Amino acid sequence: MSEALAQQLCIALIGNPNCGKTALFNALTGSRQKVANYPGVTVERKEGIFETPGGRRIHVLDLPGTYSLRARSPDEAITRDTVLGQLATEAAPDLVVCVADATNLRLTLRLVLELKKVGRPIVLALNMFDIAERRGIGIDMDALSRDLGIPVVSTVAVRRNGIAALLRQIDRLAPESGSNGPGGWREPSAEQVRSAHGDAQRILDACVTVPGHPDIWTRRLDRVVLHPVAGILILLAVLFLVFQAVFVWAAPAMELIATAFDALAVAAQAWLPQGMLRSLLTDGFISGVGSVLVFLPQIMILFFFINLMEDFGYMARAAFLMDRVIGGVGLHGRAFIPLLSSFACAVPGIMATRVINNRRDRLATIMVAPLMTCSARIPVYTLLIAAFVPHRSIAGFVNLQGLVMFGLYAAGIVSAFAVTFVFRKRVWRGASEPFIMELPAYKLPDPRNVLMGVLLRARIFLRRAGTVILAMMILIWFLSTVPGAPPGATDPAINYSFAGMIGHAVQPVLAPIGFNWQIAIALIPGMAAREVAVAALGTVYAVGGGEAGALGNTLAAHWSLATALALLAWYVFAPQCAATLGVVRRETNSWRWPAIMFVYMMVLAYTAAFIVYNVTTALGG
Amino acid sequence: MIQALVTYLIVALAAAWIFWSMILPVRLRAALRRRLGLRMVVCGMLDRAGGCGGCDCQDCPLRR
Repeated sequence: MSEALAQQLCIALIGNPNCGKTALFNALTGSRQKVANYPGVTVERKEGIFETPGGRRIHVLDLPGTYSLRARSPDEAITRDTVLGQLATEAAPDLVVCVADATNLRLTLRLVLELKKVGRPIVLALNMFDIAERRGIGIDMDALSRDLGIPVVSTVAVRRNGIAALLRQIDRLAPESGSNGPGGWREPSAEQVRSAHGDAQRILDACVTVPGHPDIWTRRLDRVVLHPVAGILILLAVLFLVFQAVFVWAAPAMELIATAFDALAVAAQAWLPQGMLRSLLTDGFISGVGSVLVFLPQIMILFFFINLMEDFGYMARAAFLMDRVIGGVGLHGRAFIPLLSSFACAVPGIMATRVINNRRDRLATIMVAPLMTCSARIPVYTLLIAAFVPHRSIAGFVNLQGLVMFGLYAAGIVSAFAVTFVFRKRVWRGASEPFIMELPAYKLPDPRNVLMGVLLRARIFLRRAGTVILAMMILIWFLSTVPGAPPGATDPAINYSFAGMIGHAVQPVLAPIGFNWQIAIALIPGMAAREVAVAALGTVYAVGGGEAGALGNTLAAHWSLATALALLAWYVFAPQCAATLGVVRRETNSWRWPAIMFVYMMVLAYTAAFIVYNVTTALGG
Repeated sequence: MIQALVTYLIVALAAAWIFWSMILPVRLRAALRRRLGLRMVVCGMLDRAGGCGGCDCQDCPLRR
């Protein structure tokens, strides 16, 4: 730890999961924060710096959420050890700010009682105070402060309300210099835990009044949404509608982007003389990157719905509903959130499995997370669906392309369940631990939150297109162009290029599943990121003389339906993501699991593509 | 001739970028950055924590 850091006062933010701790951290520190991992474990560490009105420079840690100092997961152990000053790399905090969800104080009060035993100054911040007031929850803050023996302030972190009062308390309570010795907490006995529960309930009864029929709309809605049968049907219907919207709503914007790239290609051809640079610009940059960028509207629409459902409070309900389903195949209920995250990207999804305490449950989740349809698969799916599945309706209202997309997502989910079932029967036998979660009340989605989430996803996608995909496409273009055709050659020049040689060398292995040498070329850079394969196909076909800017039409002209469907089946299972394998290696601390993952997914991908190709061919496709 | 030179320069830059950011192991990259006196752009705590593992998902907060 640096000398400057040692001279600052250190405070720790602690609280239950989802109490708005990170929002408070952001309100206190603004942009002066950095994120890393705790040494030796993959638990995220957020630290920041701010100054109080009294001119004190404070170093603040946003600790992982916990319900108790009796840690049960790696995240909770980090929180406990930091508060107790037992972490070798971390200074013990001079002051603890306990953040509470004002609408649900019971569990926080128990945590506060535990924290008091540590012996450090504590401030209790009642966050989301505005929501508590709206629900008619009355909190006697003076009585609460008196009963707990610590200062209590109310905050609305997302609006920066109450921050000034909190800073005043920090100024008042923080010692003049670091005087933070080890904490005095010890693991309580069962009797002490029961006693703490009783004390928390007594304080709650004395200081908090809850209206007789709290949040009647949440209860009424939950009666339908959480129904064992109707709830599942509603969830399926919601997901189905989302995928329909992804295809129908995105179409005009996608056409606009494709037209813009076509115009760009025409302009580049008119502006630059015939030569290598023009070929790089039109075949590499525009055809390659453009064929991926066209999917931006679909990704934005998908994440608009995901953010909307999350903000509304429906995602937690979906987790609750799915617990029964995923529990049946041997996954822990807590696996739902990592699996849901994997729909965006398997990397954060796999990192999110840290919330699962049991090692077998965690490994099972890690091993199937890449089977969830990540956003990198969307460009591949939509390209092939748009090119090979007719744009027509079934029964007058179901879009066939949307239905196929829904089927591909469902195939990923079902195969993940099947693989888990096999793993739990053959490798990790034994029962899972029970799943307990709190359901938040429904609330109207905040348009700003939803928009921010969509823009963040768009930014990530655009950054990928401008970095990984662009660099890969330049390289693919080079490999597809050099060396040129020898004098007197009759085949297209790409056949004589390095890419052509690689494609032709790999193609015999892929011939039984109907893949041609162009697909073989595209699958190689596709190992870096799945959507790179689309851009690679764009470049390979453009260099080979295909129609620039209309990759779907080119593929429809060159491939059979069987090949297209086999490639879709391949992409449901193939482990085409080096980053995912890397993060599995890091999270399991072993090469064994990424190796097993690679082999089983590759076998599944090849088998599925083989079956789909041969069945479709036999049916005349 | 100039077109070919510019093209090869772009290709060389792309290849170098891929090697640096995707092929080179994260620890080696961090060591090289330190040796070259470059700022730790991936993660300010890289020397203590090892960063995000050098993956390229772009979702990692350490890469923002």
